[in-house]
Amino acid sequence: MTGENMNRITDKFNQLTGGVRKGLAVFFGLCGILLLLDLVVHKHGDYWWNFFGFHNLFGFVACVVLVLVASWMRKPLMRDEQYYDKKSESKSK
Amino acid sequence: MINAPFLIFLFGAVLSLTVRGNLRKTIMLVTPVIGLINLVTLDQSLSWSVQWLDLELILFQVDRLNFIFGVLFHIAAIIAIIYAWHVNDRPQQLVALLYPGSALGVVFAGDWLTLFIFWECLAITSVFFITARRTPTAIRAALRYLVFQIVSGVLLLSGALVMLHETGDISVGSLDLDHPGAIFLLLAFGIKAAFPLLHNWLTDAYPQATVSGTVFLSAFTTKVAVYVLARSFTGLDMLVYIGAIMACFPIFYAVIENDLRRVLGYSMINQIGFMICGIGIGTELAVNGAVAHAFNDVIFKGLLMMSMGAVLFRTREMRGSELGGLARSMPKTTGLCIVGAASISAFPLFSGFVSKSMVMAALLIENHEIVWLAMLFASAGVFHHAGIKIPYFAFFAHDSGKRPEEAPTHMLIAMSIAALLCIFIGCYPWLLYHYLPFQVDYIPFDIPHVVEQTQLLFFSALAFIWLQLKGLYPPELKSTNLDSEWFYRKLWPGIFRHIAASADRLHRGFMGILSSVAVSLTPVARKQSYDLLMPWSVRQMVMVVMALLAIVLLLFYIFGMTN
Repeated sequence: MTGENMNRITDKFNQLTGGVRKGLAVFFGLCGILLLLDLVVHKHGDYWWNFFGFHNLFGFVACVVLVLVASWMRKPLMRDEQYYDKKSESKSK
Repeated sequence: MINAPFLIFLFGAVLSLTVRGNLRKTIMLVTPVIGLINLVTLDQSLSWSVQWLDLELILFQVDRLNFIFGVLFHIAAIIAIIYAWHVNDRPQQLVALLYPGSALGVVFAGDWLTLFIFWECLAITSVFFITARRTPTAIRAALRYLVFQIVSGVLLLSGALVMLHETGDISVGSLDLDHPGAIFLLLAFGIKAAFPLLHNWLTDAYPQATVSGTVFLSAFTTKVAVYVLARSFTGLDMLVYIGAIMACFPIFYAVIENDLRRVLGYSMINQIGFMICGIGIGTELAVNGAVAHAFNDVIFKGLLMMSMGAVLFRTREMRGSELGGLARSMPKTTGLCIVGAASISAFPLFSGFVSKSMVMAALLIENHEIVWLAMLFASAGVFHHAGIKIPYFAFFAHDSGKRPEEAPTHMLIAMSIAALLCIFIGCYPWLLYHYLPFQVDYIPFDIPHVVEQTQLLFFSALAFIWLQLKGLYPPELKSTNLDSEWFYRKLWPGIFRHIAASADRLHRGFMGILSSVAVSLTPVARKQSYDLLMPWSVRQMVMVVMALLAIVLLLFYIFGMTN
């Protein structure tokens, strides 16, 4: 299953144009450097989250959770575009 | 007392009405410039009060807190008026000066009654930016907006009157919730600041305003509310949590919202959340952070609103599902939008970074660790929806095939001024820090902090890319998402309709019974010659009514006499 997913992601990545692919490669490189920087930067305070890669992990997980919860919210909350207008039309009739 | 800022705007507005065309626009632009020069050269010990009945109304007084809001509102007015140079609609041109003037009236008001008057002026002038769209949808949204603003005004007046009655003192100043009338004021400010559940007027009305109208609206109303909260409720613990909720819940809506100006509306609530949180913490660092963030937010949110306005102006379209690929034909707007996106996301060297981090630092100093984590989540989220989603779905993503012209020059000038301010404040925050209400000894460019913020943002972007490649990112869909407005746009009207329909049915049923009784009695009456039960002529009817009136009159006379 994970292998399939990885293949799908690689397929999608390969479909992108050369410029975008290069840009993304640079971006991934920068992400790697930022992760490694965590080894050398001295952190302030004595908090439980001062472990290696916290901000990296938090940024990634927060956004995935945000998007998944938001997509899930569509089920109960999403209506068609004219949802409120329809009501007022029927009222004016 | 000619130096009161609102008077300059009022004078400019009246003067601009006497001329037409470019001369009117020039007067409109010169007014806030003169206002700004007046404000920065003003003797800060000045105040202007008038005696009204037995009240002393303070129409104008200046200190460090309202001075910076005053400067901000002048800058915002200048940028928005340049942006609106294409507008030739007289009501919109008039309120382009009266609305910022009212906002200045509020921030420099020294007592709650004066403040109330400008508060109402702010509500009434702002509504013209929405009605100017002249579509039935916009006008309905404008009316809903006005109801919220007027309720806020009524609450403010109630609070002020209770305060006057109980204490006799209505001067604007620090309050706590035990103070008579304070709860009314907090609610009034809460409506204007878009507190949770009271927020929906903002995301309902702002996307319905005109291209330039939304730019004006986004700058003033909510920031005026932030100012009054900073003035009166600093250190109110409840605000820390209200701010955290405001920062977190709108980002979920922003991810699934299709109208890009409404996405910015949600992101505005998210940013106000940071300010409210700062005010709630109440320390010098936190209040400085809240005020600095309000300053930066007006400029970067204005920039984002302007870039989306330019897209709407050129394409007549604001739905993410119908946009995309505009970077090819609108490269300058794209670049300027990205500066706004980087600023709101608080990238180091952009303006959001130097102010948001003050609030974050203050949270940790005051041991609000849970709230800090919530705000960190909100920071990642704001980058996701405002930093990435807005530019991505408008200018990149799938090619919509639209090839609009680049934004008009005046819009590009206005956006460039805002973008330069974002970068300038981001790189050299000391000038802004110098004018904050309290002395600043905070250093934003501290290496661990810069690294952590960059890590947070880069890995948020990585999540976006991963979700896109994996096909998990929710596509932009033509849709409406239910929010608290559902209660007053669907539930209440539904209940009222139901009650009205039931009453109608009851009425019909009752009348049906009456008429069937009458019908069944008619033959009996005819047979027995009961005249009373037969249909009456008009003459008979008039006679009976007159007789009844005479009886009533007689009774009234008799009882009147005995009394």
